[in-house]
Amino acid sequence: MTIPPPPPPAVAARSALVPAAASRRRLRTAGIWALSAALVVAAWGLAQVQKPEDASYETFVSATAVGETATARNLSVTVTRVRAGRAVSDGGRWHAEGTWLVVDFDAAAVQDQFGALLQVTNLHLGGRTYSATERGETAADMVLITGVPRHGSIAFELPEGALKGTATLEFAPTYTTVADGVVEVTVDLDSLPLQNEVELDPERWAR
Amino acid sequence: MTSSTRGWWRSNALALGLVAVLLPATVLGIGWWQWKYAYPDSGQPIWAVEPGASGTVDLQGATWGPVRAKEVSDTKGLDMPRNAKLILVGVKVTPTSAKGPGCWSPKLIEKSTGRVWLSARTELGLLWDDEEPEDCVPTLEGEKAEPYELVLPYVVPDEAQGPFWVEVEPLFAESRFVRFSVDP
Repeated sequence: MTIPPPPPPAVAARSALVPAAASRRRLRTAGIWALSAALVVAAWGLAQVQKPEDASYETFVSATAVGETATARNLSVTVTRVRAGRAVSDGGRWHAEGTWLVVDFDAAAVQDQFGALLQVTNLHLGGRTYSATERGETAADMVLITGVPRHGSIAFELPEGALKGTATLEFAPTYTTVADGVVEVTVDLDSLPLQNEVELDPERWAR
Repeated sequence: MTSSTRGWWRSNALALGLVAVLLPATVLGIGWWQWKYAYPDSGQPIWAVEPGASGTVDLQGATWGPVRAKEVSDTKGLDMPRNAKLILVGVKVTPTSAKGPGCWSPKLIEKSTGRVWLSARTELGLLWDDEEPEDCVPTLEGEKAEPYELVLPYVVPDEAQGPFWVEVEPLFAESRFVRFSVDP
């Protein structure tokens, strides 16, 4: 029986391995940190491109100027003329004094006439919103016919001296404009001559 | 299976049988209720009922049709816009019950684009006429429902092309509606 020789000392091998293992561990730590940082940056980036929470309720705005046609999902509007006056009348029985902005336009539905009335006719001016007057014979709430424009006028009564700066007209075919198209028309009020009296166009087919 | 597990199944047989019946019944019941809520009760026109060879449809207490449609070339005396044409549609309505059905405004739909029109009698400068109803005629108390014809003048742009659908949606018809194909 012989005594087996002792195993060869592993010291040499281990001493060679130790630095390698340590550097690999360092590399792994660095990798984890780099990955974490990358994920944080990616999350930040995602937060940047994300839409606000109520974005799905926003309207789709088709903006235009006076004389140009703008088309939203189910509404096509051309503002043909904007007038300002110290009095307004509908050519019939209705007459009113005040500071009035009168907007003449052609409007039609694009896709569906069912339930399509010009229900939203607003004016945004100086942080305030004015609705078109319901008095007199105006084209507010006018029937919109698919592809065949009708012409009419709406009138806004404004506070004295409010006819300056830039205003935005807003048109929509239904009261609910959530995630739907609206037409916005920019109007320069400074260039409008103030007339003594403005008469509304009667509602008719657009020419 | 040991005799004790078999005994458990046997002693719970009634409860297990009830579960086997009630569980599917619950799923089916809720499913049916939801389906009914989403479809027939929604009031949305979903299922078109089209005429057969007779050209008529029986729905909601009336016989609808036959239908006729033509493009009117002589529009003298009417307030017609430029670049538009007048399509006149007539739909016979023959009530089959004591009271005539109500309906939503009948639609004209361009098949190729899905564009929808409603009749434009007022815009053409015509006054309401009992002989030419635009909407379903209600039966008043003490009256007997009589047959009539819906007279529907549609103003469509010149570029609108047939064929069209004429759709009449009776009230309370559980999502069914009458649909005719016309090509004036």
